[in-house]
Amino acid sequence: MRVFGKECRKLFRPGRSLGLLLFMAAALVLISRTAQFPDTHDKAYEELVKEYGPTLDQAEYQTLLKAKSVYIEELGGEGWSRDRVHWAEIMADESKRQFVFLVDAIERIEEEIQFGYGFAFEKEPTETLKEQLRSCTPQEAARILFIVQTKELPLSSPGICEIMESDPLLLLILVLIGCGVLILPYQLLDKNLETASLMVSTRVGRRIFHLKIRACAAAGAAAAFVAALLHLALLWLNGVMIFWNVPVCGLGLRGIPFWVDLTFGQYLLLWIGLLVLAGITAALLCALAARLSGSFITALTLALPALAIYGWGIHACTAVPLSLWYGDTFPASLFRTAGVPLLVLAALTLASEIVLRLDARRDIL
Amino acid sequence: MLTISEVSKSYGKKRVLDDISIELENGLYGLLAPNGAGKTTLLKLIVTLLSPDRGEILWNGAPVQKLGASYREIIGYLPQQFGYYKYNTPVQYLDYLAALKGLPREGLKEKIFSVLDTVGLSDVAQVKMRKFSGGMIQRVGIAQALMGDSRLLILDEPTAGLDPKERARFRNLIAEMSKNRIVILSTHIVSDVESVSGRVLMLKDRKLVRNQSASALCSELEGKVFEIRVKTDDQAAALKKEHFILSERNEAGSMILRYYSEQPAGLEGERLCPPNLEDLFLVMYR
Ligand SMILES: Nc1ncnc2c1ncn2[C@@H]1O[C@H](COP(=O)(O)OP(=O)(O)OP(=O)(O)O)[C@@H](O)[C@H]1O
Ligand SMILES: [Mg+2]
Repeated sequence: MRVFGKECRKLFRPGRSLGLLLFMAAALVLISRTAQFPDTHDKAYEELVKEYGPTLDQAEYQTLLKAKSVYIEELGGEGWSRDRVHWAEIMADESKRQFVFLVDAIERIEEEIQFGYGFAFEKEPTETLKEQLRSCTPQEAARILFIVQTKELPLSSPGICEIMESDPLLLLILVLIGCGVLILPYQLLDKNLETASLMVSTRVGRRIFHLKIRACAAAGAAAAFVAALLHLALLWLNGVMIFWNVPVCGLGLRGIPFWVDLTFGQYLLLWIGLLVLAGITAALLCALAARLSGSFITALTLALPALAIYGWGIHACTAVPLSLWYGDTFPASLFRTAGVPLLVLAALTLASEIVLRLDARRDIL
Repeated sequence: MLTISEVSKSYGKKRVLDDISIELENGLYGLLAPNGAGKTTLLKLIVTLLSPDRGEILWNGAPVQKLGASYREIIGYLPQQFGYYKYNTPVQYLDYLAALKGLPREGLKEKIFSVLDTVGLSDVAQVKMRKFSGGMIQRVGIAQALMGDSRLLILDEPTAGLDPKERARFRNLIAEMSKNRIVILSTHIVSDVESVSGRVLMLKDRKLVRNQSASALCSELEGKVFEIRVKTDDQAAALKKEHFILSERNEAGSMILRYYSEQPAGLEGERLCPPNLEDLFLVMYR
């Protein structure tokens, strides 16, 4: 444990770790969708969540429609938005501007209801609903029936759906970069300095190679944790956390189709788990690449394509096709989401175990 | 007690050590052989970095490969070349190695400062090693080998890069250390092993050819080392053709040649000299 701690200290050189941390933070602030949150639509949804909670039931929907006509009155009746002078006046007034967003959000909801959720507020499955159910995959049908039964409409804003679609990839890329930045120099330093002869002749012996691999895996997990924490902090700073309990599984315009009903928060936690898994796998990949190569350049030429393929693969298996694989059964989808990274991890663990076993007999020249 | 029993080692097809057997008790052993003779290879076998192709190495009768950590625990090893972290201070580096050696945390700081003092580095204990000279790095290496009070001290060319003052300090230290442990040091600098009491191990043609005290080794050449003052270059050239020249030096305008000869050459002015270890080295590896 003590040697493992020392190896971790060697791995997390203060300058490099701090640089990585700043790089991750800067990338998230500059590129992530979370950093642009909330836009005007999101603000309106925020208001609705504050008012009605994470979902909207039928009664609340009726209230909302009434509220909408009041807002429109306040704004000067139907056709208010066509008057440009009036528009400038409204925009100058803080409370009136809020009404505009609210009306906008309510209109979006109405639109969605017409588009996909209309049946949710019908008492009986209508002919159109029955028609629709027939053309659905079983999961879609289950989802529709769920909405019909609960008669609740999730208030997930378009912004959080975009966050869920685009931020995981950014986080994944950051974690892969983090693994490369931390692990390649750490592994190659010992290799190039030929510290092995001193290390292996001490009490630890060849077990040091195990400990080094473990330190790398810990670095991968840590990079994932830190990236996730930074992302969570950004979500919190930008007020996205208010949507924590909003169900995000949806159809059509809003929400990410998913095989189980997850709230935004649960979806994030799931993603953090997956990210840590990806971090550990990428770490092993880097550790092996460094073990197999002598110089930084060869290690990079090995590690970069491997990381890129792995990153693309895991992204393809998780974020992108959630909607495409909506037709899958839950176990099949779960396999593609967590199973593929787990399989790769198992293969890499096996590979490093073999390398370590060979090392145990190898002469240290 | 360390027993090296019929050990052979090859790198690929190249045999480096062949059937080496030595028994070592507490005391100092100087492994003296020219470059490439296999000194480093033998020491690496002892510290388990290499495993022998044939034969085995035993510590108090038990094979060292089987003993594993409990054997490595008693080793202090200075490799001929060792990697160190430039961004570390000697204290940080020794602290790291202490963890690898499994030394107890209690009293570690004091121990580190005391070994650094022993090698004369206490002034720079907290200076990053990137600012160190080659000799200072070598002394950090010696310090780490001394840390932990090892029963078996294996030093591969420990005096490389040390100045005369440090070399003298090191010799005294080793003489003291070898009283109650096995110290093996490899060198091709004869004076490192000449003045200390202990045994000299010599490797030649992959075999161990000598395992004796320095004085016993020198006595082999008793009556065979001569010096003569030569006046002309022709005289010198003639002598060089006939005998194996050990050294030549200039003294008061004329040249003094030291040479090896089985019998006195019967030359005028020839003088019998007491042989030294360097003579033996030169004769043996001529
Ligand atoms: N890793 C290696 N691969 C192949 N041959 C090697 C290797 N290491 C050493 N040798 C060969 O083995 C022989 C003995 O090498 P070794 O390093 O043991 O010699 P040495 O006595 O320590 O020499 P020096 O005084 O120069 O340190 C040399 O001829 C060398 O070329
Ligand atoms: Mg050597």
